[in-house]
Amino acid sequence: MAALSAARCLVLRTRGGSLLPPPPGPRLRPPQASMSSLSGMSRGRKVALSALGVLAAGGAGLALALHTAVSASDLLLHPPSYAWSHNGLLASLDHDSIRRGYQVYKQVCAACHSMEYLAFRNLIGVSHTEAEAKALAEEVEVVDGPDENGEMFTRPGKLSDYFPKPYPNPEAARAANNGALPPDLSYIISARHGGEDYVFSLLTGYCDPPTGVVMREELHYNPYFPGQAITMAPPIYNEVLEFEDGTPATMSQIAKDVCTFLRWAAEPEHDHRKRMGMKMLIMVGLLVPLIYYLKRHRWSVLKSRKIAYRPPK
Amino acid sequence: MPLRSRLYSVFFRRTSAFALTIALGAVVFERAFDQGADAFYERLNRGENCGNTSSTSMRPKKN
Ligand code: HEC
Repeated sequence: MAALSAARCLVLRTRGGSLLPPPPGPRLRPPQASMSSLSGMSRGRKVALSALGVLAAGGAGLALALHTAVSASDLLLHPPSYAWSHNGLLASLDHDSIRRGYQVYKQVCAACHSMEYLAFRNLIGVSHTEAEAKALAEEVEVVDGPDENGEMFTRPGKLSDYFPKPYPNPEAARAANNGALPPDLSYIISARHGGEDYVFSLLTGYCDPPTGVVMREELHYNPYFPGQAITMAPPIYNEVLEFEDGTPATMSQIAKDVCTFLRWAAEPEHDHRKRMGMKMLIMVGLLVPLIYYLKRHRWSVLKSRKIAYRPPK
Repeated sequence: MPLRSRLYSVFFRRTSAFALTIALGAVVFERAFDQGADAFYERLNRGENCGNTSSTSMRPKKN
């Protein structure tokens, strides 16, 4: 292209300049690109635009700087990606595992951690039948009231009750755990980088501190925990409980089941989401060919039309 | 062709019949599609539940 226009310029110049009349047809000029789109703008606009650009670039730079400053401090072991059975695009949660995981939560974690956004009714059709969930709810004592005398009273739990909390308030929880607050586990999988991979690694990753690292009495060394010193004592070990369905209760099995349960708790719509996604894809697969056919059908008239020019005789 | 023209005259010819065909067709299609897709999804995830119930709801447990 460039060679062509250069040749054209040459032709123009060698034709004798202004002595000869201009050649017929559109005048050839050496092509000239307009390099600046700002040329037609007023001064005020230019200033405003430049200010905007500087501001945007500065903001992006600042965000980047702040971001790197944050990640510079996290010197920690990243959890490996485990092959969760619910990892696939169309893979549902393992509901037997959720059921075992609930058992782990109830018998182990619930001693310290609340799950205040989960009610017994949420278990129905997910890990337990309605009758089972009712029985579970009735095991707990719920403070209710006031009654007609203005007194609070306790009653057996109902399906609509939320999971009982181990401590009445965060202060009590801290006081009982060397000043550390055991976080609510309802959304813990969504609330931590790495999700269930992280929680699994955390639960199974306790080990002796490296030589030279001295831990305070109430802290435990865990390479996956930011800071490596966690107040939670290793909560699970082999045979810490006995699964009601007879699954061997190894440490990794227990951790895996409780993580599946926590994933469900954090994302109860998980299975439904994947199911709807699949239906949406099938539906689109049906509709797109249909719409394409319809488009071709409608356009066939226009595309096969011929326009003939018959010059007047 | 006689079958096609019969179908046409029964289901599509009159506007009232056409409207009814659309409404009933939507109901039937949706049910079939939903159940088919659900069955497919459960089949995909059969391993998740030892094969004896739907993968997204819980079987009644013995113990
Ligand atoms: C003895 C009480 C206790 C038990 C039992 C317990 N935890 Fe903890 N947990 C804690 C405390 C205390 C913390 C806060 C640790 C800290 O901030 O140093 C904690 C923190 C956590 C965290 C958050 C870690 C983070 O990244 O901030 C998770 C996840 C967790 N526990 C999961 C579990 C699970 C799952 C179980 C059951 C298998 C369980 N815990 C059992 C006391 C407990």
